[in-house]
Amino acid sequence: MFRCCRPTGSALLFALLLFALLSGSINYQNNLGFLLTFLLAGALFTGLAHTVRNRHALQPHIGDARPVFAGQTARFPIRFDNPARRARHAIEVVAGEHLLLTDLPADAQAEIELGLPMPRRGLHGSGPVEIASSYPLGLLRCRLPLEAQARVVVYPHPVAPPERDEVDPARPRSDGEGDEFRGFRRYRSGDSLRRVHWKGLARGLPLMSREHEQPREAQAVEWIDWESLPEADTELRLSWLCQRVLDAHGANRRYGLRLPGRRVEPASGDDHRHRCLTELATF
Amino acid sequence: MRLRLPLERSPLLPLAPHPSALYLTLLALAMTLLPHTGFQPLWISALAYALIGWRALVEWRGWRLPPLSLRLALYAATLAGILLSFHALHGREAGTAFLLGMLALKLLETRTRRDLVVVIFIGYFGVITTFLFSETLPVALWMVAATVTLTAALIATHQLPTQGRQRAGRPQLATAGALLLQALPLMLILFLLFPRHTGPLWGLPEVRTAAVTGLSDTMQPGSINQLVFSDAVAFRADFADAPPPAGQLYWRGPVLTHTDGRSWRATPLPPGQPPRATPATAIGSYYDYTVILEAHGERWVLALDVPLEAPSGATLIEGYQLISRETIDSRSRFQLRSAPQWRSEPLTPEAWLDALQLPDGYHPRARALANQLTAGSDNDQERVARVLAHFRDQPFYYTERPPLLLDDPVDQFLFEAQRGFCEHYAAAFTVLMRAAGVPARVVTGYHGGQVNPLGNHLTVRQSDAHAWSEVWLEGRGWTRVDPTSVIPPSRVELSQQTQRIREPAFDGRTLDERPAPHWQPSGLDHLRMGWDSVNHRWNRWVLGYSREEQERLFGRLGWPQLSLRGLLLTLLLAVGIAAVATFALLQLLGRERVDKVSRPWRRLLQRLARHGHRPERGEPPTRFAQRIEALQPSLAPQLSEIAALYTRLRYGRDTDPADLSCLRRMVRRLRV
Repeated sequence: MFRCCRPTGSALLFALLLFALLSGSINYQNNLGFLLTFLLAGALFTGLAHTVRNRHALQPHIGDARPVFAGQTARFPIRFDNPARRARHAIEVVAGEHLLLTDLPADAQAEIELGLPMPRRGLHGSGPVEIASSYPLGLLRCRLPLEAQARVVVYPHPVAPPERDEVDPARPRSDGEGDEFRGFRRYRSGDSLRRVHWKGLARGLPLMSREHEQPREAQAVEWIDWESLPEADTELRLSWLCQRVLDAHGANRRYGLRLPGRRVEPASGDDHRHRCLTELATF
Repeated sequence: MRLRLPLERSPLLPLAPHPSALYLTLLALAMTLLPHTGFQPLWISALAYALIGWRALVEWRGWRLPPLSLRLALYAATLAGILLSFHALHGREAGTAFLLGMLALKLLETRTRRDLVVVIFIGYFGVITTFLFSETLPVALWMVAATVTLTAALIATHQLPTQGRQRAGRPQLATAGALLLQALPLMLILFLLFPRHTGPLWGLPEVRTAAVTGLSDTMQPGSINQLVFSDAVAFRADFADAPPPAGQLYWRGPVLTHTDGRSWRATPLPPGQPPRATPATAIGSYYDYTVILEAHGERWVLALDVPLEAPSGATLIEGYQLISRETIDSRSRFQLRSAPQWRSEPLTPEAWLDALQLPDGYHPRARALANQLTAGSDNDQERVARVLAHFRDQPFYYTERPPLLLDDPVDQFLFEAQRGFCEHYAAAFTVLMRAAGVPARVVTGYHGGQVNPLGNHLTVRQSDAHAWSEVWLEGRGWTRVDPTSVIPPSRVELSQQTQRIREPAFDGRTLDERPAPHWQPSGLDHLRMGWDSVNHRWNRWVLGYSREEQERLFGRLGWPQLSLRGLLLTLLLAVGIAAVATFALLQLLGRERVDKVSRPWRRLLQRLARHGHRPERGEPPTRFAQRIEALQPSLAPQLSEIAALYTRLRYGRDTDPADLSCLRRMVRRLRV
């Protein structure tokens, strides 16, 4: 309970004050002086009890941060559960040089985000995080290191590649206007009136559109290839690749990733993007 | 090797403080200053209040703090002002003025939390300096309020700026009050057990208070033509049992043996320890009591006629006078024992001569009168009675405004004026007795005292100052005679002010025969009595707690002779026990006091959390349950049922106690 409680600089000053008050009281044989001195000495102690209580049984949980690009700030969610009927004041969350302060209302849960800058790509941890408090008197500071370490994937910083080495393949159409009928979906504004499923509407179904797509074989696959890039520093190459993955994803293309010794089969979607970028991050 | 203190850096400190922190600090300082306005030069208080107001305005209006040059100029001006007013920067008055001035000036550069912490700490010092000037109960209570406010400011200083902005100061004051209340047991133990063995650590050059006393070691009847009427308390006396009857309430002060014809004076005290005298022998019972003497700047200790032994810190000298070792510059307390009836040791020849001494060339008419009155009487007792009868039968008046008597005050009083107060009667009677060959002396002190039924103590005021005579009678020794008391009430002229207090003393009977005055308190008197009683207890138990009291306390606990080491060990032990108890109590009382309904639900949430199931932010229990059931169908439908029951118990209006036990049972049985 006291393991991580240490006096602060103010405590040193307070001790000096108490010493001065005590010697003054002794010198003047002043009983009211003694009373004040001892009251403050007692308050120093009850203050400690309050500080310990302020931090007691907070059960914080630190979660993984969402992936970020290098140079961005990763936000680790920290969830506090305050089971007590007292509000907690000035709870400090300390991660290295970074500090976060929060109050917690009584009998409530609260979530705060610890933002840590991530300058380099890779799989990073939050580093040691501890919660601390010196409330109410600021004379003692009680700390509690969090046991769990949260992690974050830091993608490379995207940099536009110098030139495109191949011609863009035919832009695959994703608006459902291909040749092969795939099925019906709910009508979206902007859909061509020619493709509205009028028969269904006549039968009392909701407004639907017919969906068509390019035949699977016909869809172009873009390979984002380490070898296709000009010779450069590894980090720069990864940044170029990162930008190409983002471009391909943004254009909703099917793409695959080839790295020396690694390979991600072509696919599309958010999960695929994450897989590719994680490969780049951990390369 | 460099010493490294294991100190924590508080990351809060460099940040901007809570808005309440500054206002609370300013309020606390204003409160601390208030009693000082009575003791400090007016300009110091005015300056401090102005600076407090300025700082508050700066904060409120968002002004800028004054530049360094202006602050330095103000510092220099204040310093110069204090040096001009006091010619010093140390000592009680100048030191306090310096502290208060600098504290107020520091406000003009207070920005950060760290600054505020420093100001608050110095503020505590400001509180203690108040007690150097006044220790009355109202001031002490006011200072308690100031201390709570200062502590609240300290708490606000360590809060986040967002906290409780709307109810400025109130939560911090509540927390500060709680914090200090919880510190009371520790304070009490430290106060009672902290060794009081040491004297002053450095010199105390200044006299504490201007002494107000109705007594002096010289007496010049006739030179003052009006009694100074002062309602100030001279001392209070606490009797172990019932106090003595009113007729015995003669409080003995300086004994005046020597006269030069105009004035009377006490035997001068030799420097250092005065010689001890043989005490009187008590006849019959005696009284044990405590006298709490107000500061009077002299060395005598007032005691009930006559003290049998010297209390600690005082000596019993010739004339049954108690002389304190040091001048009584602060309220002092003495444990005394007195006997109303006593027998003296035989007089030494020198004392005999002293008690018959009359200056040559003075009082010729008084000497003749003495011879005439006592002619034919064969014992001293009868001589006393005849002289007293003279005062009773001749037209002698008691008045508080006697005429000035400058040439031969005794003769002028006896034959021309025949008007005077106790000093005139005591002096004239003593001269007459000496002229008749009876050893006699004047005793000054106080007579009477107001019995406070609430505190069972007596309050004696300066207006009770009195003078009487003592004569040496064969077989009895020194015997008290109060010539003033024989004046019949019809010849007493009292001012309105004194009438209420003095009247019962003049009913024609001798004092010893009179019953204790029956006193019917009015509503206002009751208040006055109550206040006096509270003050008395305050003086006795709080301000009067000393090394002697500490020893008495230990005696009562069964360790009468406790060494300093033993005292320190006891102190440590008691503080340790109190600290552990306080801590345990605070932790126990402050433990997660979640209501009964939430507890099983939280237990369940903890179990689910082990499997990675946590409610989303703001997700209600029922929706959380449905989501988890979808992920882990084995929990359905119990989890949803528990969530529904919990929601109903927690937020519903009518709840059945049986539902709570049902909730507990269901939580227990659920296999996660």
